[in-house]
Amino acid sequence: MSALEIKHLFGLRGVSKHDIRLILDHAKQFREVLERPVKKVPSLRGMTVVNLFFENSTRTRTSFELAEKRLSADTVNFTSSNSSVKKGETLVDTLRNIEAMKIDIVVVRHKGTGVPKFLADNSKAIIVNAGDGAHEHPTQALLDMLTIEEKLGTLEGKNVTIVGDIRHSRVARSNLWGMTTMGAHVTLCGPSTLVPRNTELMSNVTWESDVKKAVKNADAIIALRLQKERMDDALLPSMREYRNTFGITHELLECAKDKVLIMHPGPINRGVELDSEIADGDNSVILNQVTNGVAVRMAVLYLLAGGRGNE
Amino acid sequence: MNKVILKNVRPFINGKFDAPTTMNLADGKWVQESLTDAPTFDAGGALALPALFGLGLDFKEPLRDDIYSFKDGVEAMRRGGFYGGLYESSDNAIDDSRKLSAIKQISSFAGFSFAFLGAFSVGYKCKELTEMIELAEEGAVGFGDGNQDASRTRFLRLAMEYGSMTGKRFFFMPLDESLRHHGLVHEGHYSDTLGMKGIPRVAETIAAFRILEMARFLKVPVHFKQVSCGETLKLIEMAREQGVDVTCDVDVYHLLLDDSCLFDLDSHSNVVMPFRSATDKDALWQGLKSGTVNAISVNHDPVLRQDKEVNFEDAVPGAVSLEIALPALWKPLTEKLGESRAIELLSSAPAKIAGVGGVCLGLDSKVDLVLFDDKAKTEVTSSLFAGQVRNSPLLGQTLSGKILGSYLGGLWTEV
Amino acid sequence: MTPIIKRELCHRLDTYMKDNCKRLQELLSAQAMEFALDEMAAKIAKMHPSADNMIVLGMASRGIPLAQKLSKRLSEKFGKPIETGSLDATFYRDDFHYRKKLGSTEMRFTEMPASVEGKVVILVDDVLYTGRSVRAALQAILDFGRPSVVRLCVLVDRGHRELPIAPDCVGLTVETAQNQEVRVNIEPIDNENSVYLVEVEA
Repeated sequence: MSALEIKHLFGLRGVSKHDIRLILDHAKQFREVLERPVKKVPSLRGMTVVNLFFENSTRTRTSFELAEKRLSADTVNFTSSNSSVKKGETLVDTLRNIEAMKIDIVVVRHKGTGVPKFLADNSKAIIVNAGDGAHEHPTQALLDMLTIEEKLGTLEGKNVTIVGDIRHSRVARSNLWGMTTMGAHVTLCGPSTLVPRNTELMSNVTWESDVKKAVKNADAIIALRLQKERMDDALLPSMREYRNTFGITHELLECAKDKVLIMHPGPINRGVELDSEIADGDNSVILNQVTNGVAVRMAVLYLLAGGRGNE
Repeated sequence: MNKVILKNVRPFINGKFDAPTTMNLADGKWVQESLTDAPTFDAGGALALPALFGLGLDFKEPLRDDIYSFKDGVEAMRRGGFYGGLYESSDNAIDDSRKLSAIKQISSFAGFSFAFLGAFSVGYKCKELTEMIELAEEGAVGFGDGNQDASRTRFLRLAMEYGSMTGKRFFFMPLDESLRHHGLVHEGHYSDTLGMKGIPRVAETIAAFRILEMARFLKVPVHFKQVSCGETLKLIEMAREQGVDVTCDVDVYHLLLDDSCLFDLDSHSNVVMPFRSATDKDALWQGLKSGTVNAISVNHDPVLRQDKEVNFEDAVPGAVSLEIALPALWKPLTEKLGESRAIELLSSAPAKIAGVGGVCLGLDSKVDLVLFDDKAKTEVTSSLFAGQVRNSPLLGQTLSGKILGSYLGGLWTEV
Repeated sequence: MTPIIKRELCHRLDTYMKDNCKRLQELLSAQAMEFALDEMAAKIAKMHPSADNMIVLGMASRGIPLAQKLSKRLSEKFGKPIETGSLDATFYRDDFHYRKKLGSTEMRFTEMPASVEGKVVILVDDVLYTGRSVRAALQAILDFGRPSVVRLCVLVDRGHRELPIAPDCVGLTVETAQNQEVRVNIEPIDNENSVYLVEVEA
């Protein structure tokens, strides 16, 4: 018998193996629910979830919304990249307002590191991080982990290589914490302007500058999205050179295992970090990731809501 | 009240604390005769230190008096035992002599010793020179950058070259804006782990080196505010060997905190200069010990509560420190450097940098003192701070040592 | 659900299992359990004399092996295989918000071998108590389709119903106190086949 040790999901750094196991096991059950004729269970009936998105992200928001609806929760979307926040309303005011509407769970995305924790410190609601700055994006990492477990049976002892803009990636950070906790070996690879320089606290991973070496023993490769703004910021000379040195191409995969899984958090820049033929090829599990995203988010919401005890 | 009898108090005289005695204080002086019409305060064996001097005061008045005022600032000085300070406001550039005389007017609280830094560029913009000669005549003790970017190298040359006519010192917070690039915290293991934009050490050392070279070239005395890493201290030592007149200070909080506190994501730790690594913190302590660092600065920078009650990165940087500098620092400072050096670093050394006379305790002479119980504890709560602000990274913590009161400008204030 | 995952879930069972209750009385031995199941199978066969359209669903977790045992008997009786599956109604429970601890994932999965539309659904559980898990199971089944009939088979009925739910087929009826529990042990979840009345620490 077990419940989650965490009360909110801020990230995967410091989250126990027990909790991640519990989430992944429940996600597997929810994946089965998603195969049913009625893809809905009444677990969160009567609970209200607000999706508080200060950054636009149709994909993540849709995935959360679907997860909430399939758990029978009432959902509200509050997308405020350009609404009242710009009118000088503080985050605290926004939160108090939402809280006055009796919200049980807040799913939040924000450009600022630590905003989910800040909201939790200032509210009674359960907080789920849907991406904060370049800090963490825990549900994305959980769905990546679920996808690997689904295909390879376990994460224990598997080699996972993440290629791309590690420095600015919350997906990479959440994955490296989560996957190493679950016993996978993580290798990180990217151009020197896009990997962190100070890695002492991220020491149980391998840092590799040669992408061919990085993919050689990989059981799964996660290609990260390359933001076009990186060029404007002089972090990279061109998309072209990036593709030629760090893109996941057919030629690169010749250095890798035959059955290596190809993953991407989406949306893909085809022909930049990932070639089209690879993204649509046999090794690609990118669409499984999307399906697993709903299941993982259902599991997270279900377990966090159920862990509240008598209230 | 301007008279008080402090009983059972140990005054700091000639480099050490005396045995418990009674101090009769009247009209700003320690008098010999026993006062009869004065209230008595039993200090219970607490220490009487010469009052402190604060480098880096910014009380926001007049343009941002919605945040803080001189009245609040002076109240904070009374609570923290500061008799004076070097004033420079980021929001209120003292860029002509009329502004300087106006601010002297505003700050004319009886008995406090304020010194002012003029701005060397209009509005700290590094585009137009200010009338530095007139500012110096009006009483500016030096010229500062207002803690804003001064990396336009040619302008820097011209400002220092022109200002050299006054013989005054130039004060800089060495930070290269271009390398800082929106960074808010030290670029290191913690910022990389959290995915936060960092300020690399080279943003400080490159700015410092540019200024030191200019100072060597133009023979202008300079001062670095809030040095945050050991590399800058090495540059300072090298420059001194070459004959450059350079002084520097380190901030109170930089001696107490390092970037490991970032994991708490407390917006009160959002300060510029950023808290650097534990190694840097050790280097700053080493600098105090070796004498490379001349003084400890307070950098009292009030921030509205609502501007701190946000997530870390959206918070307005800055910290207040006057009220708690002494209890926060006393224990580590005396343990590492001894009582005499501790008092020097907080009182006479910063005063000397600002060109203000020091204070010392002696019978029959004028005294400004702070009464400090090194055995009591201070809970850092909102009510400890003057005005409406409370932006201290130590909020909520317990400090060893407690200020019981201060006698400043002939006025006894019990805290 | 892939077989790999199922194996994994069963494998982890050992770590989740902890039974530190005080056994008061053996209600059914292994032999008596088999006998009770024989009788239950006979009763179902009497109610529904054809294997056509029949689907046996075991409720997670100990209803699942019971359902398999029951289904085996029915197949032998009718001389043809009977569709057998499992149902986990955890997500349908109405006491979700009131529980401090969540159920573990031991043997908890739903596997529908066929559509329930128009079928005779034989719902199998180990112990019938408040009736709330049966209510949740009914709701779950109805979300899968519209069966023609749902029958409820339980090995032990211990009373204390909180909802108007009655079993169609019972192996054993016992009177119990609130602080007692009926603990069914069944292979492969447990190391033995037996039913005990146990006392639970408050």
